[in-house]
Order: sequence, then C-alpha cells, then structure tokens
Amino acid sequence: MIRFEGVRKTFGATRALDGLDLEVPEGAFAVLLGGSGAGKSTALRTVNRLIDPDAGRVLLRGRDVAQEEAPTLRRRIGYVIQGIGLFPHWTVARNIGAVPRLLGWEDRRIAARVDELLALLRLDPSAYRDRMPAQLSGGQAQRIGVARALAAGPDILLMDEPFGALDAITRQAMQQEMARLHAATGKTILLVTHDVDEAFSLATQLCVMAEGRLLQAGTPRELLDAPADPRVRDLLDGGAIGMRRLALVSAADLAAPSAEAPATLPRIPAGATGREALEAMLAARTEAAVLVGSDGADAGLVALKDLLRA
Amino acid sequence: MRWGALLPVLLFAAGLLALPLLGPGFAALFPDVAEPLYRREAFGTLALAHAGLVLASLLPAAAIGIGLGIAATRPGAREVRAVADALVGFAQAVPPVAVITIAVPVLGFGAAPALLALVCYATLPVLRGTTGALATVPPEVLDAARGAGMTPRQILWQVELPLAATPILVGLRVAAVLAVATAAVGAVAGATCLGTPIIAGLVNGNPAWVLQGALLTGLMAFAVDGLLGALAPVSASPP
Amino acid sequence: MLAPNRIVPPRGIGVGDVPVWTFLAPAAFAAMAAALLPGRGAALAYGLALCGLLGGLGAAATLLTGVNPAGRLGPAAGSWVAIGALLLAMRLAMGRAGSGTAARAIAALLLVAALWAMLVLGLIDDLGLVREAAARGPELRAALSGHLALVAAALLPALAIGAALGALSFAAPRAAPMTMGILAALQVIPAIALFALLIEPLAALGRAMPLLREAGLRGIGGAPAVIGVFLYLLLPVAAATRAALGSAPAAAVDAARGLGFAPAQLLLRVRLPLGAPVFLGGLRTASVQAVGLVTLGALVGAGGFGVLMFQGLGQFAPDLILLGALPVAALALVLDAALRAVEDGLVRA
Repeated sequence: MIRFEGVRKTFGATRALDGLDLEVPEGAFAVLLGGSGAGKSTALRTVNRLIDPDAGRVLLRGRDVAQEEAPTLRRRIGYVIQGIGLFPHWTVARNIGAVPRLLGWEDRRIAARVDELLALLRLDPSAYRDRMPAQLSGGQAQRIGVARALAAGPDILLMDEPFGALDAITRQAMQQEMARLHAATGKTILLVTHDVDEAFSLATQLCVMAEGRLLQAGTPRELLDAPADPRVRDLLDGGAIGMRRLALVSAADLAAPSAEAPATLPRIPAGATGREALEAMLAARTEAAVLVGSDGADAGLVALKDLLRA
Repeated sequence: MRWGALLPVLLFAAGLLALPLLGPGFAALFPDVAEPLYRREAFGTLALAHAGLVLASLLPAAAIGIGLGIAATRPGAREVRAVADALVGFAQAVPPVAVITIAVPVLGFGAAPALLALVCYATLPVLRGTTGALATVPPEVLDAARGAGMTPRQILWQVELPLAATPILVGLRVAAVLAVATAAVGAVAGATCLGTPIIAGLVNGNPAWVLQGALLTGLMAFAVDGLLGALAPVSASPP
Repeated sequence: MLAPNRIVPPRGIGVGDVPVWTFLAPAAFAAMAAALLPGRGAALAYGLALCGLLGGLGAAATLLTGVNPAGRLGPAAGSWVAIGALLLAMRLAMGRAGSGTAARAIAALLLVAALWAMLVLGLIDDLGLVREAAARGPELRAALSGHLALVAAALLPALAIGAALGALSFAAPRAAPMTMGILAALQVIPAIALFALLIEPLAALGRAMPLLREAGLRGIGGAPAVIGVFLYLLLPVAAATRAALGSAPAAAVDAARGLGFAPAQLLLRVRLPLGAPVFLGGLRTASVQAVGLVTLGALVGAGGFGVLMFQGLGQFAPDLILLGALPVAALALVLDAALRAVEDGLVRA
C-alpha cells in the first residue's frame, strides 16, 4: 500500500531521513515511533509530498507519488496534525467540506457528507455544524480535524502527533475513537508519535525509527518478543516489557475452565487483558481471578502461573 | 455597518454647505481682514479636487502595497521582504513634505509632486498591514491547507487573504487618513485642494482663510476615517 | 546639471561630457565587491563606493566649473538614484550579515565621518549642495538648533504627559478606551490643519494675556507647531507606556505576587525592567515623528529645516530644498538607529 524505498532527505546540515525502507500493508494501522529527530514526521510528509525526498521514492499502490501533481495527490490522502489547523474563518461544516469543495462536489452532497462525518465522530450535527473553530474545545476541534481528513473518502490517513496537544483524558478518548474508526472503516492509517503507550494501544504495525532509519517493524508483540536492536528494547522501556506483553493478550486465552470458583477470588470481565487479570490479583492479594461472562456466570479461572505463558 | 461612524461624513458635508454662508460670521471674528471668506475657488471644488487626489493615490497605493506585501511573504522571498523593510525604514525617516518639495524641481508645480508623495506614503501602511497580517496566519493552518491539497493560489485567496483582511483594511484606513493629510500639504507645491486656503491664508496674512481650510481638511480626515471604519468588517471569529 | 550660478537655469551634462571614470569606477567597484565579499565586507564596499561616487562627482564639478567661484554642479536624477541605491544596498548587506543595531549605528557614524572628511578635505566643494551649504552656514546652524529645540520642546512634555496618560489607562482599564480614543482621534487631524487651527486661539490668548505673549506664545511662530506636535506625540508615548506596563508575562507577575513583592516592588523590579524596551520603542516612534512633523511647522512660522525647504521651494532652488530635506532625513535615521541600539542593549542586558 505505502512503500518507502531508500528515502533520504537533508535539511541544511541535519539528515532527517537516511535511507528509509518500509512497507505498510493495506488496511494497517501503522505507527511510526521514535524520539525527536528520528525522522518520523519527515517520513510521513513525504507521503503526501509536503516534503519531496532528495533520493529514493515513495510508492502508493505501486505508483511513485512524485508522478502526480502534489495538490491532486493530497486531496486523495487525509491529513491530521498536532496543531489541528482548522481554518478559523470557516464554520465547522465548511472546514469539514474543504476537500470535497476542492474536488467540486455538489453542495447537497457535501452537506450530507458533513452530517454523516459529524455523526461518525459522535458530535451532534445540528449542534456543531455552524459553530466556528474558536467555539470548540481541544478534543472537539481535533474530532473536526479528523472528520475533515476523512471527508473526501481517502483510503489513506496520515496523522502527525494528532493527540499531542490534548490533555491525558481527552487523548485516551481520542485514541479509542481512532481504534474504533480504523476497525469500522478499514482505512490504512499512518500515525506518528513519540508516546510508547499510544503506539501500543493503536498499532497493528509498529515501526520504530531512529536517526532517519527504520530500526524494526512488526506487530507490537513481535517487537516485544524479539527486539532487533538494543535501541528498540530501550525505547519500549526494558522494565515494562513484561507488563506490555501481558496487556496484549486476552486473559480468556490463558484461563482454565472452572466449575466452582471460591467467592473470595476477584471477578474480572471475560474480555479483560492479562494485565488487568494480574492487577486484580495483586489488588485482592490472591493467586487467581475469575472471568465473568456477559451473562453474569463464571466463564473461567485464570491463575498467576498461567500468566507466565503470555 | 455601524451607522454612527457615518456621523463625521455628515458633519463634513454640513461644513461644506454651511461655510460659504458664514461670511458675516468670519467678518465679525476677524474684523481686520478685508476678505473674510475664501472665494477664489468654491469649497466644493476644492473638496472634490482633494478627494480626487486621495482616490488617485489610494488605488495605486493599495495595489502596490498589497501586491508587494503578498510577494514579500511568499516562501523564498526573503530578499523581497528585506528590500521592502529597508525601503519602508528609509521612507519613514523622510517627512512627506520633504518628498513634495524635492519633487517640485523635477515634476514642476501642481498636483504631480503631491501625487508622488501621496502614493509613496499611502503605500507604507498598506504594505505594513499586509505583511504583518499575512505573517500572523498560523503555520499549522497553512500546513493543513497544503495537506488538504489546496494549490498556492487557493491557499492565498481562500485562507491567507480572508484571514488577513481585517488588518489590511485597517492599513488602508490609515493610508486614506494619511493621504488626506498629505494631499493638504500638496498645496505648498501648488496642488489645488483643501490645503490651498490654508497656504493662501498664511501667505497673504489672512487667518480667516487658514481657519476655513483647516476646518474642512480636518473634517474631511474624520469623514474618511469614519467611512472606512464603517466599511471594515467585524472580526471573523465570534466573541 | 551644471550652472554658472544658482540663478541661471542649469545646463544638462551627460556622462559623455565628463571623464567617465568618475561614475563607472565606483559602480564597478561596488558590483565587484558585492560579488566577492561576504556580509559586512560588502556593506563596507558599498559605503566606499558611495564616497567614491560623491568624490567623483565633486572632481567632475571642479573640472567643469573651472575657475568660476559661483559655478556649481547639481547631480541629476541618475546620480541621486545611484546614491539611494548604494545606501539601500549597504543597508541590505548589513541585514544579510546579521549585523545588530549597534553595528548599524557604527556604520552610519562611519559614513557620516567619511562625508565629513571629504568636506574638510574640499573634495566635494563644487557640488551645488555643498556650495549652498557653505554660503548659508549660519542659517544652516540656526535651522539645526531651531529644529532640535522644537523637537525637544514638543517631545519632553509629551513624554511626561503621555506616560502619565498611559499609566492612568493601565491602572484604570475602564478609562483606557476613552483616553486612547481621544488621542487616536487627534492623530486623524492632518498636521497642517491642526497647526493652522491652533494659530487663531493662540493669537487670541496672546492678545488677552500679554505676559504669555512675552513668553513667546503667539499665533504665528513656534507655539502652534510645538503644541500641535506635542498633541500628536501623546498617542505613541501613552500607548507604549500602557503596553510596557502590561508587557510583563502574567505568570511572572503572579509569581512575584506569590513571592511576596509589594505593589511598588512589583512595579520597580518586574514591570518596569520588563517593559523598558517597549517604552523605548514608543519613544523612538515619537522622536522620529517629531523630527518630521516639526518640518511642517515652518509653514506657520516655526524655525527648523522646514524654513530652508520652503525658501528653496519659493526660489525654485533644488539645492536649497535638499539642504533642508536631507538633514531632516539624516536626523530621523540617526535618532532611529541610536534609540534602536539602546533598545537592543536593554533587551540583552
């Protein structure tokens, strides 16, 4: 879907990209993770040609992006940035309809699409349509930013630290929103972040970058199990690797069926992660926890030693 | 449109109409003056000539100022911006009256020297307003506009200029008021305008003429200020 | 343009009539230097080229006027454009080199010193402007002292009262729109109209109170110009004072309060030091404005360089006009550069 081939870019004396090779498959939620100066944003911006590489090329579905006029290309690619960048002189509806308008859609079709997207982002269309950006909270503004990026139905979404400026609670809500949107729309998403927790909670493909190059790419689990480079291990935070791994498995997968569990054991929902099971056991000072199905009946028993298999 | 801002316009019109009738009043005020009312040209003619000078200079000044301001803020135009800044710096040091008098030996007496100075000085506030306003468009908005696939022309017309419109209009308003003042000074170089009675009065020792010219020039400045203030749109973002 | 004396209409002189090197040498030198030298070196080269051009003009003047002591050479438009272009190029080169305001002020001083040296050495004696200046030495000195006196007479009270108004509108924000509105409305009145409007009331006041008349308060003269300029300067001074007092970041003010600063200490140790550059910026604007506005005061009988300008206009004598106009521009630029340097010094301190 998106393919970087030996992409290089220098700005003055700094080498932002030093031969980046990476392939992002169709429908992936790919997260570019790395410290500042790793070249993540530069890489992202070569996809919609906000930056043209000095060497190498970027392919979308096998086609070099350099072959297309930059504005035309960008209208097919959604783009969300940390600063949000809503047009302050336009209403929410006009902001969301910006790209469809550039593409020459009919007004009625744009209006319908705006309402559809507001609903998708769980904002009441009649309440938000005619507001000005200055009247929105940070979280609402970024929802509009995402809606604007999705407006013309792009099959790729580029997100550059989209939740970096939001407070912790809003950021978590937006992350869940994005995971839901990804599952619902199946779009290919490329997101840049330096927040390891955000990367783990969103990525289906985690790409760790340093000094303008790819260190390793794979599922979060693959990176945890077999970090290819000490820098990957460091970035994933050595001390927390076990906990992160637990957070990626479902407690039900580790559980044994249990007919009668003691009432003294803590109860957790059947969909809980291994990490949540461990937290419940530590809190109750027990060596096991009981999974409860949605019908309220016990669905299984997970013991402390089972967690070691994660 | 705030109608209160049109009050100075009405005052100016009233002044123009009433002044010719006030001959006896001025005679009483200045008993030593033989000819208390300026009659060489009608005040209306002078006002029209004055307005003509202002308009004739404001249009090119707006075009040059906005055009140069846009050029100076395009990416990769740091040189243009440096030249514009340096020119503005030099120009502000030289008073308009100096430009008018220096221009007389080259352009001769009449409206030409005044027009030259008018265009020069009306351009400055427009240029400053334009560069200042365009420089304050948030970079993330420009990034988002480019990322949305707008062409540079679309970004300029749909994003940058609408966001910069208010400060540019403020610059135009300052330019217009400045133009009224500079046009009046043009009378020293022989331009026909509301400054003419002032200069004629000073030269002939006729304080009544000086007062009449000064009153109308001042009222015209307030009228132009009010008119452009009324046309300036309310800020784009709601309170 | 060459003229046997000031009165006779000048005769045009082309490049062909004088030894070509006087014009081409400095221009070629400047172009070469700009291509070869970086930053400040280029600025220096432009400065030297400027001196060379003037020197060349001066030599050509001597050559052409020969022994006629009243003869004079008036550089025509081309030469003025060249001089202006060189000044602009110099300023841009300084800008490119990232020179600070102090370096710029020094460069301006160097240029003035070089011109002065050329004058003393008699290199440019036969240029019309210099002839005119030499013939009008006392007048020129009177114009300079008159101009400076008028500027000071308007600026100093404007500083005191403007600062007081600015402080008032900072302390009582509800009064601010009204105060600032009135001061802004004053700005709308064209200077020539304001000066003229002041003549008659002042004359009446002088007639009514002979004592004030003795003190120099008359309808025609310095009084309307000084009062008019004073009124114009109130806005920049008051606005800068208000902005300066408010320029301390809210967090810094809050922290100072939290640390137990008394209101007076807050003002003296936090607000004033942080606001000083802003206030100086207003002072700079006001000073440059004053220099320009006072020029117009000559129309209502005040002194200063405007007198020379209007005399020149009356006699249709370009040299005399320039003799009035160039010092005004130089004065404004020097004031601007000097106060900018002080501002930068404060910011860095």
